[in-house]
Amino acid sequence: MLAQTVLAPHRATAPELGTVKALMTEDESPVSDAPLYRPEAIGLLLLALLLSPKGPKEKK
Amino acid sequence: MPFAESPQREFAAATEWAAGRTLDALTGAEGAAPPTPAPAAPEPQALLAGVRVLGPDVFAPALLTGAPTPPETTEIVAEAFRVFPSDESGIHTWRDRATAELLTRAGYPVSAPTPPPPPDPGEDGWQHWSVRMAQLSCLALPTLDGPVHQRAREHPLALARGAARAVLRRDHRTSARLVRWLAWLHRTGTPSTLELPPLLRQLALTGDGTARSALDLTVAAHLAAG
Repeated sequence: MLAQTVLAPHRATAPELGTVKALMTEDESPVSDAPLYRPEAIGLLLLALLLSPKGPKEKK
Repeated sequence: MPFAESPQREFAAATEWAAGRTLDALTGAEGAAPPTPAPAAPEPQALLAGVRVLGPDVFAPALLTGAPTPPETTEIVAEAFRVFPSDESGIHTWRDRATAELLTRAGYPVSAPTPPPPPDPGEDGWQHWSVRMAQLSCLALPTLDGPVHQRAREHPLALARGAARAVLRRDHRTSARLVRWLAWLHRTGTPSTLELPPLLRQLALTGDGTARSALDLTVAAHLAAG
């Protein structure tokens, strides 16, 4: 399955070894936790809705 | 394969390549014409790094399907162990120990240092512990057993919590690795609080597109079916 390989010529350097170790021990993804309910956000949305300018009217 | 200068990107790409070939061997797609041109093999040093990162997973097709590992593949794993020797620090030594055991079984005896005590959820909570176990998910293979496996058997609830948390965080990589442990528990007769088939379906639908995750999920599906 991995047969088409020529063997590597040299022993790994310290940075290479460090890279391999880092790839072996991948940490969890730096994503945020699941979306949380934030009741205060509703007030902000309503305020933004009230303060938003009116849409343009169609000319007669 | 056009690799970037950084060894990190080069080795990561080589790991993906090796994971793809292992996945092909596991699913029986080896030798079939791929729908898109297959990427060329990486440079030798990078390929050895990729094989070293995969570790015990190179033997997954043999352990799960019974098909023998080609001798040249085993030779490459042994060479990777020589070029990237194991050191005595860190959780990755558990992976090295498993790789060494499988290599020794295949007739290439190599030694690995004694690993630190296996991680325990009592130390810093199930969240951190489940991430440590995700890093050791390549140990979740048939015929491998040891202190890390014993910890998994002792704490199925912590593993299930970790898997559910990873799914909620949309951390596909960690979810796939933890579901693999849950599938291993299922295969070894330890009851889990999570149903595996819906989890596997969900992760298959929302995959991150990497060969490493696809390999983890395929191994999990084999373990769950067994």
